[in-house]
Amino acid sequence: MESTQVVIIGGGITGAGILWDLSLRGISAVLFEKQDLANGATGRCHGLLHSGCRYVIKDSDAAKECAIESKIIKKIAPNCVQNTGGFFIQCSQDDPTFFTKWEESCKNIDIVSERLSVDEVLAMEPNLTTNILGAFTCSDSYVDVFQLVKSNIGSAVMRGANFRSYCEVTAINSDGGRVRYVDYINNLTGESGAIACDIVVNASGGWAQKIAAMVGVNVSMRCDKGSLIVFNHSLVNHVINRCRMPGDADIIVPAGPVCILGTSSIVVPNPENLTVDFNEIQHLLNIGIELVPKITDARILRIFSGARPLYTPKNITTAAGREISRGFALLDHKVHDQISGFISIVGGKLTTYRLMAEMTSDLIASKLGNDRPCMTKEVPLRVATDERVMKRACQLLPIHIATTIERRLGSDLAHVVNTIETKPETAEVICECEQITLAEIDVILKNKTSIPVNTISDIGRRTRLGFGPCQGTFCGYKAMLAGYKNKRWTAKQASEEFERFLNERRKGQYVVSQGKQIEQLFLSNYLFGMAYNFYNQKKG
Amino acid sequence: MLCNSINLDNCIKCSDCNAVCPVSIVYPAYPGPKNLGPELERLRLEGISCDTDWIEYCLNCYRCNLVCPNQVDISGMINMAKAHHKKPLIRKMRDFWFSRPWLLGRLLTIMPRLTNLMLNIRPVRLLMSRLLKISSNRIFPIYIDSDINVPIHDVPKSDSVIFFLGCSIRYNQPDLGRKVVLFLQRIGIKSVNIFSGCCGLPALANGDIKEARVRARSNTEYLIKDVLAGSFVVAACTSCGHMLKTCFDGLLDEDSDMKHKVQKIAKSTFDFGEFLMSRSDLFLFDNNISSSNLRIAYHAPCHQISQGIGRPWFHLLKRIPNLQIEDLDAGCCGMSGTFGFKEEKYKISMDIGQRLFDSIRDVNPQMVVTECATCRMQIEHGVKIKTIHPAELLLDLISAKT
Amino acid sequence: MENYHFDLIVIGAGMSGMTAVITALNQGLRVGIVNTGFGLFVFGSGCIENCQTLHKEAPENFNKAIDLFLENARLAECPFYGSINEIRYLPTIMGGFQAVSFAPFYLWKGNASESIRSAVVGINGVSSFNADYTAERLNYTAKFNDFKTNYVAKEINLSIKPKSVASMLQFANRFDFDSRFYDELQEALKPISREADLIIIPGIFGLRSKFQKIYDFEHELDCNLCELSNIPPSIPGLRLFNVLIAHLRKNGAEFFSGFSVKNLEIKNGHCQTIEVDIPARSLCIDFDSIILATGQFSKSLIGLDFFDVDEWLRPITKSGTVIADNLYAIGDLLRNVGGNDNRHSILTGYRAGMSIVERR
Repeated sequence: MESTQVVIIGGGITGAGILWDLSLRGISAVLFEKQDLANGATGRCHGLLHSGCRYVIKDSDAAKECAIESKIIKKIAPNCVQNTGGFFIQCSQDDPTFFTKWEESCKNIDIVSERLSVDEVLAMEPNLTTNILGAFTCSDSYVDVFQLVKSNIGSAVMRGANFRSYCEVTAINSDGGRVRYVDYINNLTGESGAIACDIVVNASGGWAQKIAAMVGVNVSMRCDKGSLIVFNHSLVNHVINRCRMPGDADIIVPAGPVCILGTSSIVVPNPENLTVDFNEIQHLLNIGIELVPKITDARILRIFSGARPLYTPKNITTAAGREISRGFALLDHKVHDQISGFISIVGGKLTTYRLMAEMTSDLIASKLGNDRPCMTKEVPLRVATDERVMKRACQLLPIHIATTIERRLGSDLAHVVNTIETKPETAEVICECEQITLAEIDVILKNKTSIPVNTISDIGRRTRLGFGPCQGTFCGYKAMLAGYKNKRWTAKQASEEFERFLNERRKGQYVVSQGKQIEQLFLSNYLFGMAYNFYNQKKG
Repeated sequence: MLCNSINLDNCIKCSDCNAVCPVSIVYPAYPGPKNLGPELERLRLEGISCDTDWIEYCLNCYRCNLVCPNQVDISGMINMAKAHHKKPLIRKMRDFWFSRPWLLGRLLTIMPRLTNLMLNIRPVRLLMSRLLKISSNRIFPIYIDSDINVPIHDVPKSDSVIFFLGCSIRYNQPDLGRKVVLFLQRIGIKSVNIFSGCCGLPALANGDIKEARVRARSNTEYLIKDVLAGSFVVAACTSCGHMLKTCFDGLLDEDSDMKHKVQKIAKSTFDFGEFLMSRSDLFLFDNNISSSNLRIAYHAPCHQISQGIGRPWFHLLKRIPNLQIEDLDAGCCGMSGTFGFKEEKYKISMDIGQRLFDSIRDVNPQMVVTECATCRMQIEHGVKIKTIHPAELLLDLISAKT
Repeated sequence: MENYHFDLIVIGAGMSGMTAVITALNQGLRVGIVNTGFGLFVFGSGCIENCQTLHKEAPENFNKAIDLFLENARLAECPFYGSINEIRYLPTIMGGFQAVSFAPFYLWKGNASESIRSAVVGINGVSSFNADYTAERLNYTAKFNDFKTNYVAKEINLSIKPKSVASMLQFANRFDFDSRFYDELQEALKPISREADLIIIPGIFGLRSKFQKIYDFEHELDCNLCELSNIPPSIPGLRLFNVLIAHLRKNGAEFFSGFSVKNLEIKNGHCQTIEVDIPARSLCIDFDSIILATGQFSKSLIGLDFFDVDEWLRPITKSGTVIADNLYAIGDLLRNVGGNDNRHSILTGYRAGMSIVERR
């Protein structure tokens, strides 16, 4: 049987962070993810790198943590972070005493915030409502979660760690109060296997309860659904928060070419098959309009929801979603449940993932007798790109494409440059909305980067393919042909894969009830349904 | 900003614009309006640098805007991007002059004879091509220093027209200007004032948005008083008319007062042909036009089409008894003002014009009529056929009788 | 200031709008057209779907409508082939088959049910089409449907312009203007034509070429040709649009292209004028009758109480009141309107055109 020291379950940001941390300490580890990376809450959030300001009143400890951690992430993963800065907007209709209280609380924990006049804010954010009294600055930023997870896993794999996507853990086998090995199944091929290990880390977020149940342990989780609305283009230049007690739809994040408004907070039974209804969107829009009136006219690309995995130990189960601690808990089940070698890391925030990984790894290291210190604070997540490579890229490609590829792939840009130099036709842009070249898709398909892709959606998570206004109608088709040409799929598999991809993309669009996205959706349906008769390939 | 950012949300990627772009058709390396417009605009709004030399290759012909089923202001986006485009020094110098036809006109008409002689001798042209990247294949128009003196009748302003001369008529074809004034007077417009400012479109097309703003502002300040008093602005140059109608609005949007003035002027601006059509009551056509046995072809300039006024001159000329007229309907001529003069763009310009040239040769008319001065230049250059402004033709036939 | 007056204004130049224009021009009306873009032509090929069911419902009108349309397509030099009782299965790039009764001449020969050797031709470097994929899928679907045609993938090399991307749009444009490209394509297809009975190729034969040019090409090649409508902009669709528009123009239709209609002024149950959204001020066009053929996303133009159409194809409210006595709605605008889904473009276009003539 294969063996490793540590098995990590869950390819979200926590699992990825732990994999990277362990790899730096020289501990061998395998990460299992039942789908592709960042498929759970990680990939379904704002992507807001909190400066801590949002939590100053409710939870000053969390705020302090965020303040420290966000600085570290900006340092170690600058390619993933879009250093936008943020504002806390004082809306005229909100409670003015909160503003002063908020400002004081910031001072108390040494978070620097400046007060801006109405004119100053509006000069920087022309789309904002004029019905404001001013704003406070903060250092909120946008972080590309897919890139962050990818960077963590990619760097870890370079150091010898092992990542298995589409591999679901089916059983954790223990013997004599000690974890021995895990069984897994590959969801794509159906092959199963087992791997022996000393420690199993349950970093599966919303699925933590289910995983813990495999060893007969109860980890009480609550899933709190948050829905978000993606707009076609960046309506704001900074992260816009509303300066009031955290509530629904009070954050707008400029997330790359799009911007995201959210969220709601609704308790759901489990993290899978989340749906959004019309009223929920309307509710979000109604509040969002108070901040940025222009969103009434802006085009909604899609709606998505994620489930915040909240840890709810028995004593505080009555609290509602947002009130439950956003802090995290590291559960050593040897202490709590007498199962040695099983650890759960639950709750937490995107911004504090590194800290969570550090503490989890510390515990693992101590159990394994490894005394190397944590290095994730200092070691950059990615090797810097060679300037000469960048220069070559700028000669071969338009500057914006070269810049965005570098941001996504880092030093792997060299592979793209080589591909284009040998085959100049691969410089063609195949995803026009997000300006992604064929060379980039080829490099990713050929697994020259450290994380394999299996579906068109996977390509999307690496590159933003299909994330733009056409939502995969044209680029998905071309990516399918690229996969076919690379012998990834047979024609039949390719067709099935493309249909799956389109359906996945459409899921987020059907709920958009008005505007241009409906026409876009019609176009897509007309093209593949009517003009090409793709879905119904029987007679006529 | 020329366009509201919400506007780019309307793009559903249908690629209609790419299918009609005259540059894309002959020069496939050009990324096309969809890319340079809404696609890159989305990234520009994100703050990514998207500057590319291709932006200079946009003709500003407006065909993409027209074909767009969702009214995306593609040209507006490209024009804004042009303003932020960085070019090498030589092209910058050249485009400085191309942006200012009024200045060029003033300087070159100081000693017009010498200028005309110099501009069209081969060594000078080769030198210009070397130093300023102005194509040596192009023949410069003749510069004429002549004021269009018209007696201004002392009549109430309400029955008056401001004739927006435009640089090309002012400095190259003052005779046409005189004819237009005569024409206006003949149809009963008592008072014709002449305004000889530059509309600013060359500046906008060459990426000099500052200059375009200066022109827009000075034009607005000058015209507004008479317009408020009830005068109409009439432009015989389609590009001037297009500019006055569409672009000032986007250039001068900083305060609402200015915006109001600009809109007022736009509302009172007419293309010459459009004006004649709308005043057909004053225009005693049917019994006043002598017949003509000419066989002519009509080319509609892009900026005439972009005004959305139908084909006024085609219909006006159709009223000439016995005249044989055919609408060429063969797309853009490729000249696009100063575009065709540029060394690196000359070939593209001629390639674009090819379809029009071929169609003129097919029709084989005695002359071509078109409203736009640079279209006339291009057609005469490409087909070696006499090309005139339709007003010249019509006026001759009216004057012949009276 | 009155500018224009027409007997009929048609808004929208899709299949239904054009049919309405053809019908009206044929009856000697003066017609103006307000349109933007290529409509659905940019996605498809303009084939007329299998219309057997429809035919049974409205046989008389339908025959006349089709005949009139076909006659005009022929005059426009883009003849359609087919008959009402026939169904042909034409291949698509995704490897499915489209069941059609009529198709433009450059598609018609691609019938799948004949036992022939077909070569699916791809062009090296074109990212939006892969002959292997399409052939593999076509064979699969053909087998599934008991079609006899066998598809073989072939690839040809064509020169591309420097620094450009190999796209079907580039090739089609060059086919239009560059006679060297015509020869090059001919040379490239020659070897394939010897081994195959039919050459299937994504849209490449120009955006403006008429019957004679493509016919000559086919004749010279000595092999049947069938185009596939490619990823937008679809070349066969645009070509059909261009030739039909040129035909209508030549026959006296006046086009106001590029602008949307801002407002329909309806007073006392009569539509008086439309305001077209041109720069600076609205263009007001007067008319006796007006036909809306603006597609399914423009119902708001008529108003919220648009519920169904009457037998003349005039929009009516839920209570059955005619919204305007000279306003007609046709084509996809009638999608999901009222109980019937009778929105066939050519049929409704013809019916509305005839309604106007009859009611004059």
